[in-house]
Amino acid sequence: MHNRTRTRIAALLAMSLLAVALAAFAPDRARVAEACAFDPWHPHAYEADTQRTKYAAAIDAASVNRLLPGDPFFALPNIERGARASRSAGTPFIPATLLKSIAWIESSMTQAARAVAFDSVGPAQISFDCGHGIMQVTTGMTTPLGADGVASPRQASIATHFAYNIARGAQILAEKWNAAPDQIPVAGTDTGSDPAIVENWYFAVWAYNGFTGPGANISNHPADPQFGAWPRAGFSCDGTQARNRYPYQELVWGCMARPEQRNGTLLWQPLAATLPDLTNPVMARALSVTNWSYPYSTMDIPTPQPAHVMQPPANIQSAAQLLGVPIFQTSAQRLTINVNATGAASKATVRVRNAGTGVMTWIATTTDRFLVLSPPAGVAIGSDLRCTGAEECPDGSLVITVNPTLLPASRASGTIVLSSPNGSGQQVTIVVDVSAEFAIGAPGTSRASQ
Amino acid sequence: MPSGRWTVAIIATSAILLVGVVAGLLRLLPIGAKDTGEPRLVFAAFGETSDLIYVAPATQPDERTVVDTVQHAEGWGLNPGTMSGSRLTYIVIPTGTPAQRGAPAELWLLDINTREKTRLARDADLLVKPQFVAGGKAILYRRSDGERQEIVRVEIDTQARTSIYEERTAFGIFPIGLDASDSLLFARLSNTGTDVFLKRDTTNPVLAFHASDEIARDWQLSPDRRALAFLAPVSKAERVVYRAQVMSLETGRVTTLPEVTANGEQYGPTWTPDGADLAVGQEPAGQLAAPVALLRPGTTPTALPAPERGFDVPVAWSAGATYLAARTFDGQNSTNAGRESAVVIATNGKRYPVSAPGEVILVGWLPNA
Repeated sequence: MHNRTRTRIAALLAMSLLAVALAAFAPDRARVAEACAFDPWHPHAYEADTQRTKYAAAIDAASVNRLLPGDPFFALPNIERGARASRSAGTPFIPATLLKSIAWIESSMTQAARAVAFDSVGPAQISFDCGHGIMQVTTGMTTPLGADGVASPRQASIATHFAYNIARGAQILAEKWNAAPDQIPVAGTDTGSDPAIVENWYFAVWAYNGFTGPGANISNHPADPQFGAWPRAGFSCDGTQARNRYPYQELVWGCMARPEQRNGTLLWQPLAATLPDLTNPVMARALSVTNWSYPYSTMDIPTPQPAHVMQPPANIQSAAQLLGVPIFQTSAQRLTINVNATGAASKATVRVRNAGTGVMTWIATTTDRFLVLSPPAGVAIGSDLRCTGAEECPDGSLVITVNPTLLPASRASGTIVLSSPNGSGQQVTIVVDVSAEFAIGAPGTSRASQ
Repeated sequence: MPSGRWTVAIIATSAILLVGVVAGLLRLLPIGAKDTGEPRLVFAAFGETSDLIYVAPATQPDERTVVDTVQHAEGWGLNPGTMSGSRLTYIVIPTGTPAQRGAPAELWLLDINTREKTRLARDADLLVKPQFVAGGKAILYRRSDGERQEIVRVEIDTQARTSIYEERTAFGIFPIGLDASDSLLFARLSNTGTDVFLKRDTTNPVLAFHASDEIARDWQLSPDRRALAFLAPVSKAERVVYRAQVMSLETGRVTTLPEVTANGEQYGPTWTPDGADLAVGQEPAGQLAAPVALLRPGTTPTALPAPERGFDVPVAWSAGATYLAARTFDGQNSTNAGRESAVVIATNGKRYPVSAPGEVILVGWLPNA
């Protein structure tokens, strides 16, 4: 056998092995919807302390639009109030305890996947239906929205950074509230639909999970016979009760009243909000199955009593405290990757550094398909935050591998653009020179004829 | 090998074989057979990622034997259906599946005595209880795909599955069982309330009766499958309360039940095994506690031992109706249910709490040993 032939066979073998290896290390597609923003890769996120103090503080700030107030995308919108026929915009406000309870029901208030330790960095939490992070944000996360068919910087922020995720979740809940009266009913017909009354959020919370009717597979109607075992005791967040028996809004109400604790401390002050009393003819009539018809205009309810008026949280941390001042830096601007004929996947790692404070989101993109970026987005942690993981603390790591089956030639160069949506500093273009130790044929030609 | 060592080896091998044989025989014996011979309760204790299924004597719920561990998606417990002999069926979202209610769930069959488990389907709706039919030879369950819902029959012997009714709906259809003529009985929600339909073989379903202008629930087919008990909301004393109703499937007429707590809520209608009485829980209505009432048309209701405080919700009778497994609440009614626990109520006047660190999921009873 000629040396050249041997080299070709070795190269083909190597390419096959590398392709298999790349497939093996890809995220489990079965767990992720086909079209999530980062599919098939997982961005990496920072998981803060087990007591969720950072997250709770961010929720407090988000609840009164003091987390990202000037941001055109992440700011909390005005909250409408008033009678069905005369709604008017008011100050942005969501009861903070409500947001904390939703965060717990959605994700146990965690930004990263379960396997990621607290105070460290690892794969972001992404559900099968593309719910991302603490608030399990799905809206706008089901397809890549950036240029060239990749995820956008906003999507990277939602997936990796707790504050942006919380802000987006709060914004979605506010949008659900403001969907009344055109798309969902009004709660609080007798109290001017005051958003300071937590009971008035009943329909908005229902809609956060899906304004679905009785009998549907994901119904949240409180009288749905699917929630067997009627009547039901209030849900508790301590993990002793199955969720099977409760519509979503009752999970949230139960969790508000009976929060989980860590290290002997409750994660928030209990709030025993009132659910609609279905024995009350007014409530029963409103929630009647006969009214279940879009836009649900005959389902308005008065405020369930006793009502609980929520004040804005005291001692709200400033946005600067919560977000820090991230400064974007990277370790390299030109790299070389050698791909040998033995099948070993060569790779290069780029360190992404936050020279400032807070959590800095970064995102990497390339139009050169033979460059594989993992993760496609991540975080670098500032000096003010605790980060104990060995691999990605405090600096983020972008691992670049080469898919040899897509190499245009034995010698090729590609570019990667690294940037940070929330870190000051310029985006960086990294040039990657790839050198393969085997010949690459032009697509469509037969090597046997060479 | 010296003869002494041969002897030791033979004895050791025989001992191991003996232990194996005994263990095998014990495994085939009914669970709890060493106990008192009294009815044995089957229940599950919820855990965040797995539930334990237990069997315990009616009067000694703490003397429990673990039958099986059911792993499930975090936060979502098993949903048991009816029992048939020593077999139970349940639906569960398996581990590794997204922990969401809409995720396709698995339908399982478990024989308590042999501990043999069989997965029968992987496309079930978690919240809709499966039902044994045809004398325990088949199971009905519901599956969904968007707004398309199907009632599926799975034959236990062959595991063959047949979709026996399907429709597109923004509401829901719920399998109830097979009536005395083996027609499928199912409930259907719509803007006009709750209707019960009968479907025989390949014919279109026909309306059996209109159960309520609102949402009716808690369907209980009588043991002879000729009557159907359920709860439906009615207006009583300026409240809307769920009350038990019984409909004759033969005459299409309501069977009048004796009145108890005229205006209060009623809970968990459950037929006694002979079908003579319907047990219903009652709202205390001004009292500290209310007992389960046994309702038999034309007679004065009788009562089971009441809780110290609150009310009971019947779940399942043991054979011979000597014990009732019930959920018990220390609150006042469905609006203020208070804390929930589980209890075995003996018709002789005693109550036996069934406790666990997590929620107790009552399943049913094993036939007497």
